[in-house]
Amino acid sequence: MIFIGMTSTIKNTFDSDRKPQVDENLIIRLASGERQALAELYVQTDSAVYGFALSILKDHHLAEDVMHDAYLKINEAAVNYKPMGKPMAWILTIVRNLSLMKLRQAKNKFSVPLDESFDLADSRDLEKESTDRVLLSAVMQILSDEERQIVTLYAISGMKHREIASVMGMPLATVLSKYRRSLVKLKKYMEAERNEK
Amino acid sequence: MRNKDILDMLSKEIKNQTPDISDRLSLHLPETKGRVIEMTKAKNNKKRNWIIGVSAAAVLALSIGLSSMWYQYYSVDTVIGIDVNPSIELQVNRNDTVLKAVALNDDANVILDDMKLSGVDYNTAINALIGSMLKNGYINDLKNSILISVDNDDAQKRLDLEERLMQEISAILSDSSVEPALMAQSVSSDEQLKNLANQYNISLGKATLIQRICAMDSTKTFESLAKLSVNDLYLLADIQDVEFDDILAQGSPSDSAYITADEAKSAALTHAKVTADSASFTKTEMDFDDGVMVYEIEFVSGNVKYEYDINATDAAVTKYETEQIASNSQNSSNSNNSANNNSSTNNNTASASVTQEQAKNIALQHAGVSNATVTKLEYDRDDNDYDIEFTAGGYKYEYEVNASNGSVKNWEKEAVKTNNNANTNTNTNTSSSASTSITKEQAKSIALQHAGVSNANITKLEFDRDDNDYDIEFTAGNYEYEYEVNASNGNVKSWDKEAVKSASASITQEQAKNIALQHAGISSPSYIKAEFDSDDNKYDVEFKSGNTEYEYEINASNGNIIKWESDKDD
Repeated sequence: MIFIGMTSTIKNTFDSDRKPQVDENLIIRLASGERQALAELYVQTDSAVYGFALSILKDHHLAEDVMHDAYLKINEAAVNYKPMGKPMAWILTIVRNLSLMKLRQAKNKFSVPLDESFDLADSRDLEKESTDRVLLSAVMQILSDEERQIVTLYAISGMKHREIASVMGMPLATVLSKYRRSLVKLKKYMEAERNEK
Repeated sequence: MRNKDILDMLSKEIKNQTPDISDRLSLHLPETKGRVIEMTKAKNNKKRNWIIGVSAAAVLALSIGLSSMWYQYYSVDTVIGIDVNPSIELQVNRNDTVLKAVALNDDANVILDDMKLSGVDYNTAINALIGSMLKNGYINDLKNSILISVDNDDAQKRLDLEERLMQEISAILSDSSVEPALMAQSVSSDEQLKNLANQYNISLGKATLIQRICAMDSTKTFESLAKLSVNDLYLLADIQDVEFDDILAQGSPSDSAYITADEAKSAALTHAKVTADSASFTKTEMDFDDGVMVYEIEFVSGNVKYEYDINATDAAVTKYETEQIASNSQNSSNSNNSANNNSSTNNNTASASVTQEQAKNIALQHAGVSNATVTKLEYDRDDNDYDIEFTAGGYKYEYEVNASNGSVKNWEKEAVKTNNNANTNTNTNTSSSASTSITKEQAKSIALQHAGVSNANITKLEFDRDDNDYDIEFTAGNYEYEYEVNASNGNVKSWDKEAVKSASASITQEQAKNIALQHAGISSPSYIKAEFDSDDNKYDVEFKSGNTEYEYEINASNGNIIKWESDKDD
């Protein structure tokens, strides 16, 4: 009997359904002019693209803009793509460049630093303050820029630390230590939050 | 709350908030998101069915086990290995009862000291062992890795057990402040591996892990990895991103025993006397060298390229190298071979401002002789001096002359004995003062034999007088070998085997640079560097213009841009 209980719970623990799989062939098909490939690519990557942009920009509207530009850029740059088994890293490098550009423009435009202005509430079901939402705002508020980007990438992109290091242009050891530090911070925060209730 | 919970929640919420902009992009999504979700669900169902099947099989196996248990009580069914640093082996019978606990090293003796584990349920035993390791400080924030190895003939039982053990150990440690990094693997009693484990005095589990790492990373040798702790092995595998598809893993190995990359960088800068502003880093990577964890750091400042190995424990400089980069980018980094005067390995030319010739004259002058037979004239890098030996007028002289200022540090004068032996000695000019009793040919055969190859293409076969050994390099099959064979006794001092990459660069480094520059629309960068990456058969091109840094990856066979990135330094 113990077997049944254990096996099923453990299987779930080790299977990650977080990780999206990106089919590299889609980029190649896209490069050969098959527009439909972009739609399929979109389905596989939308939340990674959006999430990473959000983690850099901390603003819904800007992230959505970058998301839009990113798919246009992917469409355009697909011809330059060489299959190296790292399609997600390639896509997210594009997202990062566009986001950083956007961030610079935004900084020039607004005098208010973006860091203070993060507000996820938006118009989407404001009253439902779910734990998941509390976590996301904690990610936005208590983590440093780099920590936030690393944790977000790890959560949504399915990339390994090494690839994240390469997308972020950081040494792997730094990525690893920032990743671990962030999770400790978040756990502490979430546990304190839970105890308050 | 575990890491995975946090990551799952975050992923879920981001998915939740991701706007649908497919209309804005005028994309006609072929498979709606709904369908994708359905597919995942279907997959999950399948998995659940499979699990039920497995569980049924497990129950069946268990009941068969139960019925035959009475006569199998004393036969070992499973061997569970636990490696932290203490390495302990539990021999368990079919009834999950520990028959014997074996200590495989000294630390394990401390743990098992007065524990009576035979006759108890293996869960209880594991609980006691982990508890004791925690109490005795073998598991802590600095060393959080635990390797679980299971040896059982029944594959399914093995896997189940690995998972259960992981779950249990994780539960035991959940009360402590340590967040463990667990690995669970299957081992089999392979004779060859058993011998290796015995040879290096490590457990079968650790030997298996090392073999896996070696299989993934051909630059590592079993011997060098055998010195590392389980935590270091795991850290290394993690850093190098070695993936084991058949190892269960949970948590990350602790790197807090080591300095951060930034600390390592600043140690290198301090040693090089370069300020952080003027250095641009091209590589910072943790690796290990001869059993020591180091940061490999490379940076460029002015037109000098620095390469450092910084000990990751105490930030000491363990190795460094500098190299001039020709300011004319046209024919730069290609010509960095040892023969070139531009490149200086270690600090010899840096501090030696006295030439060999000058040093010799200083010594002769000091000795007051003009007509001498010089028998030795060598620069000693360790002491930064010249060791000079010569004979003149029936005396043998030995001098040490400071290489920076030419002062005589030490000298000795000795009458040459007039027997034949001494005479022949003094006559053998500069060559071998060291005793070589084996020939080049012999050294070569020793190396080939050690490597177990017969048909090799020798690329280097040289006597190294400093170390009194032969440096031998050859290729055979798809491997490159490097050997150092002691010249007096023929012992293999060190060896290295590396897979030859069948890379085929059909464009040159120069072309790669131009492709990148052209793409970026830049004609005269303030700094440019291209490096061939044989692993991926690409060129990594880095350059700077104004305060923007560019990084390109160029496919080495067709010149396509694989990836590019620009970063503005504010």
